[in-house]
Amino acid sequence: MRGLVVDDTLCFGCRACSSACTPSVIRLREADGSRLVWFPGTCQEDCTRCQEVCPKEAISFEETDREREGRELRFALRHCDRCGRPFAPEKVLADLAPRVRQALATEETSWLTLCLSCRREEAVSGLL
Amino acid sequence: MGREVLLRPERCILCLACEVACAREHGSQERIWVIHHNGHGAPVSCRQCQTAPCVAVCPPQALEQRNGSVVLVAEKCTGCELCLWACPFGAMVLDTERGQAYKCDLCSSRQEEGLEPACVLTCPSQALVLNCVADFAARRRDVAGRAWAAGWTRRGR
Repeated sequence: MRGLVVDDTLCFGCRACSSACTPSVIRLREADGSRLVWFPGTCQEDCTRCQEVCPKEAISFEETDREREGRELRFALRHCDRCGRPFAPEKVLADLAPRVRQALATEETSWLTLCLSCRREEAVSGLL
Repeated sequence: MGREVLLRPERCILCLACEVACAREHGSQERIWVIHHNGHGAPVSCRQCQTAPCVAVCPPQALEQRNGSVVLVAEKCTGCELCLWACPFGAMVLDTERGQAYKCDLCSSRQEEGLEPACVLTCPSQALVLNCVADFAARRRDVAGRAWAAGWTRRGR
């Protein structure tokens, strides 16, 4: 049997694997200010898409002689500084922040704490 | 430099025609949003950043700078959603059904046929225009200079 191993120290809760998993064996949902990603312990699908698309290389496969239990990883969602709604995993934003600062050569990345709607409103309020 | 959809926010009458035209052009997935602010407002869409955070963070390099615009190569997109959170303007969206992001594509298929982007064609007050940044800026300076000069004349100096 093929065991699916996810490294919870690397996984930051993006949507790549769950988007790629067409049989929806890896499932993502959001509830109570958290994102929950469920991974099977063993996967019988003839496919390695999740492993290929994972930006953190957190997924691997290994041979196992028994069925393993799946596990659900929980990621706290950041609440928007403006409207208070939960929007993106804290771990994703923490990973992005230094890369965005480096790409733009600026320390000003205040939008990272805003949800999409509030970013659009900020963009317009700056114009008018 | 390529042409972009550029905005004259003072001309926007909040009619939502751009949003509707965009949705019609892209199968109900609009990529421009009219945002209200203190009784005024303006549309927001991808600004085709020259130094684009979405391009910098995209793991499969599905986002590319091409001739002054930011292009999403849908076949490469893994739907990880990082571009959504990197964009300062909330201009990227995720299609959760297909597991792929989408953004303003400047109506590239229309432009190949020599047609303007749907939002630009539809905008009744010409708040949205298709132009290159240098020409647009020159035109804006000209308009601002004339307005200032007209006020100067009226003040009788």
